[in-house]
Amino acid sequence: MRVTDSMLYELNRINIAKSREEVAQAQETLTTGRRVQDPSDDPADFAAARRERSREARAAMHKESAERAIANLQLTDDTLSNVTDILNRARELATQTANDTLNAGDRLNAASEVEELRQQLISLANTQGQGGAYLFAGYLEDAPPFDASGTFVSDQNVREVEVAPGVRMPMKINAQAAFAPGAPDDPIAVLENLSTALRADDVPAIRGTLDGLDIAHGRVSDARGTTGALIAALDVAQSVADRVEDEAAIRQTELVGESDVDAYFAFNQAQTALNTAVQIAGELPPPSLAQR
Amino acid sequence: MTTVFGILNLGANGMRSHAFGTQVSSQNASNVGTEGYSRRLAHIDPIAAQSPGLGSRAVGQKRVIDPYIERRLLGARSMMGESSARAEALRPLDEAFGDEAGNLADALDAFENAIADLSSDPSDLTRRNSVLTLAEQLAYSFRATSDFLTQRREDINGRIEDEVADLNGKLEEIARLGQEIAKTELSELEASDLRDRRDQLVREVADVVPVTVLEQEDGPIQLLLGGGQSLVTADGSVHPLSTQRNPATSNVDVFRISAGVQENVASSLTSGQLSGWIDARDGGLTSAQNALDQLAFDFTTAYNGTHSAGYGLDGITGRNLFETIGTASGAASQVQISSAVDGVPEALAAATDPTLLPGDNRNALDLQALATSSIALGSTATAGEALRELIGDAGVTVSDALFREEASESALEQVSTLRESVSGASTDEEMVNLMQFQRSYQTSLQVIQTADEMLAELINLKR
Repeated sequence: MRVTDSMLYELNRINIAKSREEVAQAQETLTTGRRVQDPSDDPADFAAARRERSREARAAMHKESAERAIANLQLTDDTLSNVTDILNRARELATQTANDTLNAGDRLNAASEVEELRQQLISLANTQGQGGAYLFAGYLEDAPPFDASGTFVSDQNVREVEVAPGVRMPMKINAQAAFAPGAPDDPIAVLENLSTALRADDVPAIRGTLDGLDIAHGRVSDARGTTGALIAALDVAQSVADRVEDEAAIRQTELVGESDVDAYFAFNQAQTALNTAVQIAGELPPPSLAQR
Repeated sequence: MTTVFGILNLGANGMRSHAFGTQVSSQNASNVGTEGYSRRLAHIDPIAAQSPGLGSRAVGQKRVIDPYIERRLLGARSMMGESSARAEALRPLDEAFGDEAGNLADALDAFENAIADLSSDPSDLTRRNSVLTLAEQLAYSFRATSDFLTQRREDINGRIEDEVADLNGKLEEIARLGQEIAKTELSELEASDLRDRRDQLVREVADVVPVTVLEQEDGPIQLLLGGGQSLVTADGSVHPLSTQRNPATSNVDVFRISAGVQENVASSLTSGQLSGWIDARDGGLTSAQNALDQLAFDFTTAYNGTHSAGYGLDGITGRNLFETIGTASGAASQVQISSAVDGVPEALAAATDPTLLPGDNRNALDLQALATSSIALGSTATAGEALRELIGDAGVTVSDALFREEASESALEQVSTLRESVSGASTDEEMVNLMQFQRSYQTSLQVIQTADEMLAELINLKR
């Protein structure tokens, strides 16, 4: 083929332009750590990495929801533990005062303590959690679920949160599970009955509250069991979300990232090619008769 | 009959023709790097009137071109024009759907997660405000992406108008040069430079539209648009292109004006920059815009449907989250947070029962479930999936355009090299030619000197 001066210069111009483009690309990969910068670099991997990015964000959100539910349930468990203490003390007082050796004065003193325990119980049943929401209220969570007389004035709905794609879990237990308000063995009512019996110095009536106290105690224990089981399940959900979040992040790097070594190697290679092309440009024009 | 004066004349003829050869070679040497220049050969013929002849004469110069390569070059330039225009016009899709700050996909994720956050504590005003802020950011992202795509299409319309105006100027110049070449050559003068200039203009026209060149014997050419319509006729008349806005699409269409009548030439624009731009505008950019509009419409419709069924903290129902959009067409540019909830966090409908406020989060859970519900692409994909499909499609469109640009670049390089190999001037060759003509010139001088000496000797015979 006949090779003219322009062909040599044009070839060199093309080589330099291509090499510069490759250097720029390698430099971007090296500094960003990303092989795929734009959707057109690798449309399938770019879109897949986007999916992983959404998955990572969603997993972080699920983790946060689970954390919030766990915090709420832990507070519930602590509260129920205090309720158990109150019921234990009330049973102790009922057992002691059911003894015939005590007199009416002793029982009147005990009645005052039981009344105090009942007030504490109402106060515990009206415990406020995150953001001031009442733990044992239903959806009407901005008002105390029990009024001053211990009457339940809220609803029994339980709020759920999503902790994994399509998986919802309760973030609280309702008042029914903990206190069964309105039932004969509602602990607030039982304590009221005990206090009344003590004031009336009515030993058989005092004895009659023992069964109610036991049932109420059993219910609170069951509720704590449920709470514990929910916390355990939420812990699992939280660690699953945590793992998904990590996996999604790693997968993104696999899809669009580039290892430092590879990026550095590619950069060096591109730079060497450019240096060579520039060096060749310095050698142009080739030896010619015109120089003689 | 041979005479000494005849020999003297022969030497003079040789000097003239070799001086002409030197001039042609010098012209070639000075145009080694000139774009579109075709090297010339000095056409020197022997004068064979009587035996043994009267030496040589310069007949003229001849451009060295291969018509087949010239035709291929026009085709390759049209292909390159088309693919580079398309790639340049589609490249913004990378920007529109890439990972730049404030991108639509991140805004969608953030909004969906804010709704999820709200469902865990529906009475919290901070969370409600966060939902409103992120809904506004998402709406802005839809609008900004849509405006960006619209603007790129408008840029293309502007470029088509400019390019057509420029092209018409070139067509006029080609027609004028055709007449000038005919006149020059009729006077038996040299028109190679004019022909080079015209060929270069034809190549520049081929960058923009596909053309066929029909050469006439006497100089002018007929220039046809790909499909066969004349742009420049042999008699030098020009049928220019024109542009007009299509009222239905607001896009610029290209016409050819012949005898005052406008004829749409869309089907003839099979290559060249105009074809690339129109293809990008009506193809990749419009597809992305339509998909974005459909997504915006599906998304706002689904969220409004669920949101309006729920109750705000104020116990009011029936409020949309986003302003209602009538049809998918142009939807993305209209996404806006509804005025009923804008700045009113209490209005966010997280509850399904107005008697169970503020803790009822069931509508918030329903809104949250929309993130994983098939609300888009004809109820076959989630909003996120539809957006990722749109991003993937945009990526494929750009990467295909870049691939085709690279392929036609290589093809053009090959043909250009081939043309340069045939028609380009080479310093070394011209140096050799110059030496050869110089030597021949010296020889002719020698002939004159010899004839002069012979004459002198003849004159001296009498003494």
